[in-house]
Amino acid sequence: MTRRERLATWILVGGPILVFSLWALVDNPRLYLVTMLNSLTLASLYFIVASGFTLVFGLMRNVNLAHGSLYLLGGYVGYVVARETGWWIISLAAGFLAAAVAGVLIQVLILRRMQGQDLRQTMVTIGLSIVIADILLWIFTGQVYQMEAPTWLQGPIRGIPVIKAYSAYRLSLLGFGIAIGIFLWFLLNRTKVGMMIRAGVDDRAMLAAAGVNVNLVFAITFMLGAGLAGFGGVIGAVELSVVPGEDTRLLLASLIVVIVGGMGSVLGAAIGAAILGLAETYGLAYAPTYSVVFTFVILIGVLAFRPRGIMGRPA
Amino acid sequence: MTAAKWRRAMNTGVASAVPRLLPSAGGSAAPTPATAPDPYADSNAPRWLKFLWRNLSPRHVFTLAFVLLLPLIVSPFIIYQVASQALIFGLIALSLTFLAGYGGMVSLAQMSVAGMAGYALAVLGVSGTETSLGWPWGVVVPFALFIAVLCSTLIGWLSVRTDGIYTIMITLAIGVAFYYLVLQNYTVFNGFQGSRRCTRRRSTA
Repeated sequence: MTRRERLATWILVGGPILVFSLWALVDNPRLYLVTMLNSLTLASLYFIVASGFTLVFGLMRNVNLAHGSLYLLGGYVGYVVARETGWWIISLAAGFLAAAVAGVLIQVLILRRMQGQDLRQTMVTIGLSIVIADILLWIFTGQVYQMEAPTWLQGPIRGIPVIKAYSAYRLSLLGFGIAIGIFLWFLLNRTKVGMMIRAGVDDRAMLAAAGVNVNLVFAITFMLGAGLAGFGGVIGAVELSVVPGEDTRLLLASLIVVIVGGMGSVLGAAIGAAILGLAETYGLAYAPTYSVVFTFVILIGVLAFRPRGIMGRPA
Repeated sequence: MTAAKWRRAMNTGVASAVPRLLPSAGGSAAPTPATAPDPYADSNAPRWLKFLWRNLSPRHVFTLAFVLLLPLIVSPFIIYQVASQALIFGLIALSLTFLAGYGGMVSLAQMSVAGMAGYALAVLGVSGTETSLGWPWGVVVPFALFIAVLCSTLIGWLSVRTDGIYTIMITLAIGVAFYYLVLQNYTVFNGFQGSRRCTRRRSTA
């Protein structure tokens, strides 16, 4: 892409957004800023869920379409644990663990049998997602569960200029997203496991030839990816709610985030999540019945210019 | 497996299968399955009769007879709820098979395309919802087909920019996004209720 083309793209994409932002800021600054915060907090939830998805894809070239179901599983387990123990932190850990164990079982019992057959693995995970969703529907019925935020995060934070008050829990999501991002960066760039995962992303066969137990690395990565989905499930259980159908919604979000951001890239997942969160929330605030259309527009825009995603590399 | 690889695999598979399917081309391949002598070989019977004689086997006749006679045997419930749905889903599955088998593209948005045609029929034609425009049946059906073809062309144009698993993900994203659009948008699609009583003629009652 030449410099002039890049400039044209920036003007083409940024111009309308800038005009809209100026208009919205003059028209109703509070709505605009609250929507901004809402979209960034939603984006951090999307980032937590989608980073697991992109991690698994990057290493194993395996699109885990049961990722949304693992999210839902984490949410339900977190809800039950929080109801029994009353500790939100424990329920976070339980949600992570439940999804991680389910992920390891899927990887070891099912996906390992069809190593290297990407298409078949993908099809199997679609089937798994339906089975898991139906089992959860069977156990927990179609009731809407709403988890309560821990007491130290309940209620609004007051005294912010222009916005006046904002939910403390939602604001904490931003912190969670950033913390997970830093954790993943540290894990991937500063630890031995992360080194193996990065090596596996670049060349699986060479990693195996170097004497690393690739199956173990795969299992750990899958566990981490699934666990992040479960972690997101517990966080989302407070912010959104746990109900059948959320799995598809988060799967769609993960897919879009990963397609837009580029597969296998954690930074790309962060960028994609921010774009999707902004588009979805602003769409809901300013054009309620057509907010999904913006996801189409993003998808088309990104695929038209960068078929592999913003941070994507040719596979 | 990428689409390119898949396509190659399919093509080599077809190449090895062709001599078996068309024995006249190879010559040395297995003899024609027709046991009876072909009475139409030399006569100047119409071409379609020759074609039928060569390609029709008992199972085709049985299947056709079964499908034609089924409405006379079983209850309307089975016809309406089981048999016609089986035909509809079979048709959609056939599109998936065609796309994966000959094009090497696995699309998960096929049901959305079917849904678009269905919604076009319900919204433009006669149906129980207020949004229906009440166009005559003969106009609506080709138009709904046209809309579905147009939409699937757009989906295809988007998803051929990538291949293999990326295609699956993009088509799945499109399919799920269409689902949410339909669910969200009450003005055109009437949300979860959808449209019922899509009929050929507006009832006078």
